[in-house]
Amino acid sequence: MSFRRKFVGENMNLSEFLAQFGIAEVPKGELVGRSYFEFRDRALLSRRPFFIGKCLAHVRGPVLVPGVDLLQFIGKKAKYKVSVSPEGEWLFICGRDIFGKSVVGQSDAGIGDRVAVLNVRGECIGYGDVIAPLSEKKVVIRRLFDLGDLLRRERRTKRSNRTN
Amino acid sequence: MASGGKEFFRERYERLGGKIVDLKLQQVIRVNTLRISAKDLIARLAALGVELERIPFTRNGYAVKKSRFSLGAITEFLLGYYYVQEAAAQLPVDVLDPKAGDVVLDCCAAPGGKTTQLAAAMDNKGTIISYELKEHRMPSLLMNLERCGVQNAVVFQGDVSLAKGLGQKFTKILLDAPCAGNFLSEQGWYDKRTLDGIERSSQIQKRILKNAVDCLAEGGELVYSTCSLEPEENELNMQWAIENLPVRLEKVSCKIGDPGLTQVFGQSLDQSIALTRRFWPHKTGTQGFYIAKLVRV
Repeated sequence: MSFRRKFVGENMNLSEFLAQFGIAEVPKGELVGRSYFEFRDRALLSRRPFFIGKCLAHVRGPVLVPGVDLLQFIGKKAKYKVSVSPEGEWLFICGRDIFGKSVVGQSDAGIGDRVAVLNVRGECIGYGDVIAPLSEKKVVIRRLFDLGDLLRRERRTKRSNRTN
Repeated sequence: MASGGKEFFRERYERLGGKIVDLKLQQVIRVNTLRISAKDLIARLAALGVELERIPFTRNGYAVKKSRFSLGAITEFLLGYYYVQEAAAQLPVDVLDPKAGDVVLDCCAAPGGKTTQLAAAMDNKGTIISYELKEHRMPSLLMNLERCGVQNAVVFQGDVSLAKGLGQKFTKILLDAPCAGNFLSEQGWYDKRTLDGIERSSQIQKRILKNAVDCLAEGGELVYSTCSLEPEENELNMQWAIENLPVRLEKVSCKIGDPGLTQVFGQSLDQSIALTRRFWPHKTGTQGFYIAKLVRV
């Protein structure tokens, strides 16, 4: 069952991914290899490129992880957003959850809502789930994805190359 | 006779008119103009206590004069506002000078410093066809393209000879060749390099160069660069190129660097090799580097 569910999950597409944030507007992305790209010229597609045009998202197991540009799109369009302080931002991109004291602004998100996490400049640095009232001091947003993933992804690959 | 080690290279460089210096390279960033203007980035980093100084011989390069933290992991880096790229390494793209709408062949693309620079110079318009042979270098290349907002690149894994199958001739080609590096680029460099290794590297470069020239349109320009000070990877490769390939050398316009060597260990080379540019660290304050511009005849 779990094996089957994993592969059902791998079929998550861009619109399903964006729907988590209440976004109905979906960029015209196409799966090339294990990533979604937005591109016009199809002439080179048959040669199996690793990267083509604008990178939108990557397939990772049962979920998609957004590229930097799609993350900014989410930051603009998401139904629920929270802004965090510079200290909270730093901890978050290092892979930590968000404490209530780091939240400096929000759009009426409640427990269970999936929120885009923005810094004080309005740049989207990731997203997570609200797990406690945002007014509390404890961990209120569980991190699901943050920008630091870019570096961790590269390090993971290097480690895996070393062991292969 | 030893063909490696610090003394070997010291003597070798002295015979070429250079020398070894214990220079600590300053960290340099290149503003990614696809994401942010230099003015806004400078102000933003200044607010974090980072002091930058413009590097006059680059278009968008700034030396980091003061920073309390690594510039390779902060939000501004992750959002692709800049690329950490040594000053001399920023010059080959400036020399190639691609314009919006060009179709550029980018050989040996990883980790993507010059590919992202090409895209910025082209304002994400036109097309960059990139090749990278080594699979383990692909993730960093893809990560940097994504981070820097590159939208006009198509990346393939493989040797640049595959580009011949595209059935297209390019008017601009960037060949930043894999090389032995230089003593400032790697700790313990002297003990890791030998003349044999350098000669092997030179053979690989010749093969890549030939494949790249095969893809070059008549009158098209190819910029060849290495971060090596070894003549076998630089001037001697250019001598081989003008003797064996349908190319001539054209002047490399750079505000720094010396003319390429035309006398190498007693061998006289074609005078046009002086049109290329050699960067001795003790003169330029950069890492060792070499740039040549070839035009297909």
